[in-house]
Amino acid sequence: MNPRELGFPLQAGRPPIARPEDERGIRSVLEHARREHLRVAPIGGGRHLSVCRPDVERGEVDLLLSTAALDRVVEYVPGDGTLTAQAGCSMQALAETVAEGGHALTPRVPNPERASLGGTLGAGRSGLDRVRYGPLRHHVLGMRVMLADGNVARSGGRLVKNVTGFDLHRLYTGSRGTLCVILEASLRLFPLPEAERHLVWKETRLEPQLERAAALADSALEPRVEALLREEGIWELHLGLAGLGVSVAFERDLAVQLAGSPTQELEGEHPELFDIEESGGGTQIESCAPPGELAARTSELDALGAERILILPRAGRLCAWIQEPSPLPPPQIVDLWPRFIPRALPFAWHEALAPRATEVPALAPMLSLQKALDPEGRFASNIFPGRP
Amino acid sequence: MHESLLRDLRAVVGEAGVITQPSARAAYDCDGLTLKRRLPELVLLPRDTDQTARCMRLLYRAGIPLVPRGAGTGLSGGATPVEGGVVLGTARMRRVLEIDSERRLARVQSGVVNADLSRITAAQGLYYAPDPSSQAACTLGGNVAENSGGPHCFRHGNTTRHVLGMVVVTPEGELLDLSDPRPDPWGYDLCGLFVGSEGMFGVATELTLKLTPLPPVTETLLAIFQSLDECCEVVTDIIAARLEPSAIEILDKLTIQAVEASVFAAGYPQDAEAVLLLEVEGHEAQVSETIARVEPILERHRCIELRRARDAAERARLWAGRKGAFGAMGRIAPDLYVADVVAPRTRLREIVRIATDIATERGLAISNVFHAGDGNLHPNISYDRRDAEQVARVLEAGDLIMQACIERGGSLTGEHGVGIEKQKMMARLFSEEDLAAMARVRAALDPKERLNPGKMIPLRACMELRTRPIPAPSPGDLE
Repeated sequence: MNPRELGFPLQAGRPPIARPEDERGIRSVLEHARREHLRVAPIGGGRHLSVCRPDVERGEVDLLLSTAALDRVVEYVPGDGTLTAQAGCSMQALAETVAEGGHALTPRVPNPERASLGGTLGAGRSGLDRVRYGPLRHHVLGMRVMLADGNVARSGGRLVKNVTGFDLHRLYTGSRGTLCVILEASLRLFPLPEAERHLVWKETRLEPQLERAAALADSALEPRVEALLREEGIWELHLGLAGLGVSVAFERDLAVQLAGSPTQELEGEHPELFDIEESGGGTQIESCAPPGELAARTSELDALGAERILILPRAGRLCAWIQEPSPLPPPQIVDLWPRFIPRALPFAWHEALAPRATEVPALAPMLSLQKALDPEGRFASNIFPGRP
Repeated sequence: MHESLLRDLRAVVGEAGVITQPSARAAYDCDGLTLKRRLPELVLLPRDTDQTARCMRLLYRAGIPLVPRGAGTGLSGGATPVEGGVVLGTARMRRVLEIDSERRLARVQSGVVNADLSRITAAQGLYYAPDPSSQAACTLGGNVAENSGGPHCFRHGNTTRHVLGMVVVTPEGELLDLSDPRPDPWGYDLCGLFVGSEGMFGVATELTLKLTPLPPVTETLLAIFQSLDECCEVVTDIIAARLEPSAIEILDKLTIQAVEASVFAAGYPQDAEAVLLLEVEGHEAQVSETIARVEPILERHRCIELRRARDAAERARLWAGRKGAFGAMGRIAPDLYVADVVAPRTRLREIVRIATDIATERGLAISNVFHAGDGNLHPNISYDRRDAEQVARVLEAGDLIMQACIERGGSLTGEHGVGIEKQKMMARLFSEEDLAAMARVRAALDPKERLNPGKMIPLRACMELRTRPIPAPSPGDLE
């Protein structure tokens, strides 16, 4: 590929990365890709390609398209509690911007200084703070995207309440760069907490921690974070409280009343917990289960050799880390898929799971949507492991 | 309607599930948008997913368009019948299939009435949060189609944040099972896309809905003002102070007077220019602190009286007045045009003034009741549909109010949907490219446009479906 032909710098590597300066540049890249029959994968920070785009590893992508240069905050209206920003803005920069006006941004993603808005939206990633705020997709108010044909299309708006037109931004959120290039998005903001407190209970067994979590869930508590983390044989129940000062004090006392004195208590948020999902490396497997089945599902993950397990009991979400995975996925994974959601999987696992890909519910309408928005398949389209 | 098709449909839903008599079909000739009426060719009332799918397969093969309908309380014409079309109502799909208090979810058929679900789950300390004013009549399936809101959506969000899954029958009559309530969707967020699609992608027959714990403490306040402007300013200041009540509603003088003269009388003071209905919920500390911070804001804006509901009965009466406001308008004139515009919350007062001026200049009676916390306004124009000239003035005023909102960064609808009422205004809010993207998605899911054809997307956008080639880069684009 000749960089001069594109008019923007390319990074060395395979596949090459195009980093256009602006929307016009992105359109030029897509036009070039169309002329040359190249397959393009839009990327954010590029940290989750193994999760979101196994097709890159498979060599099915000719060009990565980065929106990193689109890094402008378009509009922050403190009185409205809304933020509109370009896709290349880092989540850290956006959080700092809105904090000046007394607002907080969700999701609180791991390593926010390296996570871009576009990448976060494309990956559909929610943070541990989903316990309070719900998943990311609930707070995307609108988007501007570029489709494969170069047309720019907007959906939603910059308003906290709006049902005008189809919610295409819901479709694009979590579409992993297979439908469009996200250019700009508007998000709902939340009040920056006045006070924060973090409580940790430690146990060697999961069951008492699940009982604690259930007691807390049945109470008036509205925590920002509630997570169970097992590391080195110890189960830690983390409870992050945030809000008005008197409210946090009340909730702290209520939590102690319900769950006993914590092993550890911190003013402010836990310094490392929010980054936990991206620390430690290894293979990540995600699963979900109702509260009554969390223990059983944890045992299944243990049987796969999980070294670290993170559970969000209220969301019913589990994540396991396996440091030295077998070359091929264990039979349990193949049998139970798609009960387990592959996250950071070795390439060979994706390949082995390929035959099960057609079992994804509602695959046919998803493929129809892909074809409608990208008829030529310009955005190499592998969001399912080994999708045929 | 061909006799053999009618026979086949009867075989699926039974005699009681087919309405053919013109007098009976007339009950389905419009929804809450009474300005637009059309008699449907036939009305079908299936009992479950299977019957719905079988009916839809028959209609698809016969090439007959279909309009899904909940309770018909929608205000934008989403359930208005289309030419040569059949109306498929969910009135007989009223079973609650499962309440799972541990997972805090309910599985229901789509014809279950909104308020009934909360009534059923109250014993388990749970409720369904979205509460449209018509919640005593509207169905959950209709709420999903329109992505309905309600006063408490200020804190809890519109319907889309409460839908965990659904079973959908596609236009071809195939089943799409999206009912698994995963924390995150596998692949594309089809549920998120289907909610608010106004019955144009499929018919949702079963819904998996999130239930919310009943708050331990709820306080309802009624703040009384001698100025609508000041009342609006309070809302702006509450938002700016980043306080989080669960509902912030405003009713203006004409609305208050209509409510107080009706069966919904709530004890609102009739000499007030506006009242602010504010609800705060949560645990005790949260509620008392929020109210303590709201009070100085009210004082600053010359609130002349602050009342606090003393018990559940008084709270219910205050809300009955608010939720009965549209019905109470019948005292002013026989018909009511309910606008549903959204404005940035910093421009509430400005939009209210503009809407009032637009109506007043045209000699129309306008009353305002709105979800102030969300910036979702309902300027209501009372009129008599027998007066064609007055109807024209009403429609002109409605368009101008929507246009004013668009020009100020607002939008056409906050909870009622586009339907046919706001269809032509879509082209003013969205570009051709925006609308073409919507039309492409529609074409992917309903290629033959059998479901609710001719709604929401202006005709021109449908014609733009062809993909436009990207212009080749100019020399300036290249290094």
